[in-house]
Amino acid sequence: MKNFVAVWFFSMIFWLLFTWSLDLQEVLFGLVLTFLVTVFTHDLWSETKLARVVNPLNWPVVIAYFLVLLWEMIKANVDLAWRTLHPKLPIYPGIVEVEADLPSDEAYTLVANSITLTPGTISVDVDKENKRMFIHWVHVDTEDPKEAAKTIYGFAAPFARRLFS
Amino acid sequence: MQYIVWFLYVVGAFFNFAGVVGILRMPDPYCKLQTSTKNITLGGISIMLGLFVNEIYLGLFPSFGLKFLLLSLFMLITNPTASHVLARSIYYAGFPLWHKSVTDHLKARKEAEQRG
Repeated sequence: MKNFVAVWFFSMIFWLLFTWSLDLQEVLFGLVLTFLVTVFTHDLWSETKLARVVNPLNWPVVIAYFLVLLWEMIKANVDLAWRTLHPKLPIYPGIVEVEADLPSDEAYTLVANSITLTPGTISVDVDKENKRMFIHWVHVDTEDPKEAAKTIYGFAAPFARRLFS
Repeated sequence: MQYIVWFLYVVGAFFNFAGVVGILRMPDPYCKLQTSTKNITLGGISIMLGLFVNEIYLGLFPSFGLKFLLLSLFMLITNPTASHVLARSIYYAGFPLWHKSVTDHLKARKEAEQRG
């Protein structure tokens, strides 16, 4: 019940931010719509650690993560744009196995999304029992699981461990 | 101020262009996904930030500016998830990697899964 109200409250805040009006019609429609959304999604939030992002004590970590992510994304994009526009197309792709010893599902999600946004890598599959991730890499520099882990998601792992341990 | 806005627009347009060229040039779906996700996410976010700065410059801040920031946040969350799902389903549907690919460490796991 508490969970239901919290989800409804936060989706209503998002609705108000998006419409940016306190017109009675807008607010009533928003209440109905966010109620429907909450009915379908509130059980997804019951046992997740994602709600920790909302806690103001964690905001410094979240903001630092976003700044680091933005910097890494810019580097990755310049690299990839150079590779695409280069006449010879200097890519040597492959799927690499990478060590991923992370504490929870949410940490895996965060790291996988960071991987997809940064240098030439897309997370293809996760093997949680053996703590492995399979990553498509446009320029395979190393095939050693530990070293690849460091170069691919070294920047994101501390944030993931801190937020979702 | 206006120059910052133009700079952000140009950066966004450049990365979107690179993404489209990548979609046309890359040899297999995985590499196509690489360029389409990364370059288009950053290009989109850059254009959104340009619009945000422009709103502040024109003095319209609270009505539209916040929406652009929220939209870029949602793009940042949903784009990589979508491309991960696409890459995984392409792989398990059996589409082969490019013939010049270097390695494929996922093959053993896929075969084990198909055996049951």
